[in-house]
Amino acid sequence: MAVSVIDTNSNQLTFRQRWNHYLVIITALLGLFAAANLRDNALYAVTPYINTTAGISALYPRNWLIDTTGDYIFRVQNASRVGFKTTIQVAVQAISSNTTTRNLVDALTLNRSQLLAAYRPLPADNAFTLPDGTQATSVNYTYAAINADPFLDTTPIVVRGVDILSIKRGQAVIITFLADSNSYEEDYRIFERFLNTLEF
Amino acid sequence: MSTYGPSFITPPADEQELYPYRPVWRSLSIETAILIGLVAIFYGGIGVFHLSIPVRIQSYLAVVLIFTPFSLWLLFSWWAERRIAQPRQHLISVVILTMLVANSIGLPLVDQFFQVDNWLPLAPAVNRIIGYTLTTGITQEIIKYIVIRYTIWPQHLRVRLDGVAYGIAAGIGYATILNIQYVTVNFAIPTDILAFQIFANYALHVSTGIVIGYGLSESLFSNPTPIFLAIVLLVGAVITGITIPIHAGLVNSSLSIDSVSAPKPLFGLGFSTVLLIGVSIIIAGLIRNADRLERESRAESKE
Repeated sequence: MAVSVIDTNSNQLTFRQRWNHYLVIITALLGLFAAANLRDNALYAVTPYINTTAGISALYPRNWLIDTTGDYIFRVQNASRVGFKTTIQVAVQAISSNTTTRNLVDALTLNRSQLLAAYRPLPADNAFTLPDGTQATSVNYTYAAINADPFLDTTPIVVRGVDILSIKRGQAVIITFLADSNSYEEDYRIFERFLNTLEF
Repeated sequence: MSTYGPSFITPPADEQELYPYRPVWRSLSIETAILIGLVAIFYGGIGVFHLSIPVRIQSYLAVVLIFTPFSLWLLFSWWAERRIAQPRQHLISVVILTMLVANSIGLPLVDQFFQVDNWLPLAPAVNRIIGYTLTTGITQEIIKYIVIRYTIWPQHLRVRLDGVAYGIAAGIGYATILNIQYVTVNFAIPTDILAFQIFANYALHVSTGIVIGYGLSESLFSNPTPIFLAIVLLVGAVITGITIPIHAGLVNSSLSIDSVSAPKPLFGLGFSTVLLIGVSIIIAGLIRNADRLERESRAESKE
């Protein structure tokens, strides 16, 4: 087998060799920059939701399923999540002039302890501030989500949730975030971005 | 006294040209053939004849399988270098450095920064190819490039095939780290499926390592256009970008309204083998052609 052995001077690079190395680094940096943009477009893309009747607007993650048929203004769920679907829900409740946030928290706790399995409230934060400066109360809790379908032989999932309650213009706005406790921290960033865009 | 009898005229013996370097393609063929054989044995034993491996042994077997490509490379490439006249230096350094950089930069960049598993598997086919090319492909190839470029280039490159040998070393290093990560994430995976995945990683990273190594050799010996290495990097990244979704599509079971098909690991094995052989043949042809052109130009300049 014939081969070509070439004597090279290791210290002297030609103009082309030097620029070959510069350009490969530049190409890689441009590629990684484009990749970061692609990721942002895919992961952080949003869809606007506007409800002029309730006076609420927000940007929710694209590809999440929206539902406006329940006893809430709207609810969005990450349908691609395996197991418990991460959920953000916004509800409005009319209140009297002497209703306090504490009354709302107690009502929610009573209601959920009857509906949700292994419901357990966690300490509340009365000094929660929404991104627009509105004062609110946040209530953390956990419960076990049990799939009632007998054909899906699954174990219960521990769900961690947070309710953010704020009273404004004679109505209580209840913003709820629910996620599998294993992915709660990761998904909470999505909820924070949602709160940043929420106007009511 | 002198005699003038008939003297025998013997033809001069053909001078056999000495090749003082380890033949890269032969070592690669042996390693690949043994790996394919191992995968076939595991598939035949577990997948076809349904032999059950005790759970206790499975974890040890997984560790052995993870390091099989690296061990084969040590035996047939690195150890073979020691038995020849002019061995390639620092091959093992390239492997270890690639492993360290892949583990400290490559994996966190792809898994945690780009989070490819959260958005690319659900994207349309073309977006998936572009996405994997720009995220996983560029990251993996630039790491192999930088490791080779700043360890052995250019002082340890004597012939074009040296670049390929170092590229294979970088590919083995990256594949080994990916294999370790795969087993730690999917600890209870069946051994035959693990063997298929290990071969897929090996084939992809050795193929792209060959491409990057060839590019670095050419940039030294042929003094090509300044965008040559950038194109080579993109070719390596595109190979990765195309291979990941196509391999996943071939191997994974499909789900439709009326049927669910079984996984097809043999398709993946065939695809990976064709990829490795195809890339090797193309690069071997390019190197042979470049060497021939160089010999001709030198012969012309002597005349």
